[in-house]
Amino acid sequence: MSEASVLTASQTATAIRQGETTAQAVVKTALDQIQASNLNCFTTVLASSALAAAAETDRKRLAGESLGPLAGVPFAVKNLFDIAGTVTLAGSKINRANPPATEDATAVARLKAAGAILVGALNMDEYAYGFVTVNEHYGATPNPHDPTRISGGSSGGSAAAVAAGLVPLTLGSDTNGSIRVPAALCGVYGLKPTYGRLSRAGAFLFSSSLDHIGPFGRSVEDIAQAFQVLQGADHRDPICSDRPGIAPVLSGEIGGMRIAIAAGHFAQTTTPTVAQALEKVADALGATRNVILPESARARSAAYLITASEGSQLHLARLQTQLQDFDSATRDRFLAGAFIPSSWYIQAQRFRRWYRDQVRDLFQTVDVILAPTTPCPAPLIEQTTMELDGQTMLVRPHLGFYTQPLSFIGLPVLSVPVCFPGELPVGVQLIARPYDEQSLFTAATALEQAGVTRSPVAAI
Amino acid sequence: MTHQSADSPAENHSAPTFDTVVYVQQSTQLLQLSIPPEQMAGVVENFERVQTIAQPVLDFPLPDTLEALPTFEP
Repeated sequence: MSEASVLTASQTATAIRQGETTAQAVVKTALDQIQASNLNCFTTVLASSALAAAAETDRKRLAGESLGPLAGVPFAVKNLFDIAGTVTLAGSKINRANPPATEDATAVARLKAAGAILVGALNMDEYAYGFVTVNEHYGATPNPHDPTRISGGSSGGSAAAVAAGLVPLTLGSDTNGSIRVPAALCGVYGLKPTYGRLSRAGAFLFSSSLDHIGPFGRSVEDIAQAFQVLQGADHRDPICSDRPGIAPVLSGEIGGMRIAIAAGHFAQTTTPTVAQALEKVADALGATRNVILPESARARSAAYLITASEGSQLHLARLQTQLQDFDSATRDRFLAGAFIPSSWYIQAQRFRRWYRDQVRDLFQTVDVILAPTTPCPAPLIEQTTMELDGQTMLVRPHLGFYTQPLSFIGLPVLSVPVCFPGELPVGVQLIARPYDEQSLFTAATALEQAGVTRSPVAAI
Repeated sequence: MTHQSADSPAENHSAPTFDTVVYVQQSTQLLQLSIPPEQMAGVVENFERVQTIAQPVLDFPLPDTLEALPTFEP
């Protein structure tokens, strides 16, 4: 497919609203592309319900009824989101035995209420424990820009489906980087909003202290639009904020905004492409100052302890009775996590507060901080180690090197795509103070307008 | 940690150093898990990795007054 033939979510909604196309034509095209794709993004395709919803959208438009801002836009969700009538797999074989969900996850319901049309569920690492989307039960989801490489994870299906132009909008979840890592490796935008900003109700959790949900898209406008309709209090998620939502402004006016580059931990072990992408973004935003988020390596370790402890506790009964049904890539890590002493976990939680306080202070003097999303472009699917700064590192855990300290304290982060000609895409994280997603949208709009970030559909 | 030598494949039962294999085996029983022998090495390796990751967090001094946030507010 040609790059120009694939509309963003906002462009699609506009074209349908103006009668240039129909929701049925858009959804039919999406279903055909999903069917023809060999990227293994989808684990469930909801063709009949999607076509019925599209017909209803077209009927409403012809009848002059009001249409939502995302009317007719096809979307898909990581398969840990509840979809009424469908079993929520969360990337596992074990969950196949569960009954179908009785209602949609809040995020799914809110996108549908805005007019978007759900076309299916997307592949992921088992129980969201991974950065690769290489799943023993459902296969790997390769990178649309180079199918010999990983799409990243754990929301790999969500990022790859957008990068391949199968759908313009998807949802994923992020505990340690699972939205930002695949967004970077697949060359799309991925937003991990402030912890508690968006309801996780009806999403199969991994580590509740750190779990977030958020959207993927190929434009800042699409991310902002999805974020806007996903906001709102939800009594079904105990950590969901009751703060009023925001109406994102996409002015790109960064005058007066204090933008700095994260040094220390965030300046270690990058490849030249990643360093070059960060420099390009920093130049475009006029960022020259460096800031230090103190003890970020320790923050990364503490995030791991919390994730492993909570994830293993969540799955303990299944580990006791269905151990051999786990993906072998997650099994041993879940088991090891079950043996973490409570004092280690509590120390990690107390350290989390210490680190939060330090970073809160830092945000007195800065509005947006820049950092790489991953240390490298997408590794090969079979690759286990990589050389960085003269050291041999394990690929899989190292992909979260820059993302884990930030989700640890719930900061809003938008990974923006940078694509150099002839090279694989990489990502740069825009990081703001809690609840200041607006600053992310402003900075990202400036980058998009300057042509520094872009998200071309993969040419396959 | 007291070594349970009867279950330990370790040779040196009198060593005062921590024996991860014993700890993992005993914890496996405590948590009513059943790990096949051929999979035990992978679990031990993963727990050793957790120990390495945990150490800098455990080494970091925190004041008694610093409590974790029961409801986390970023």
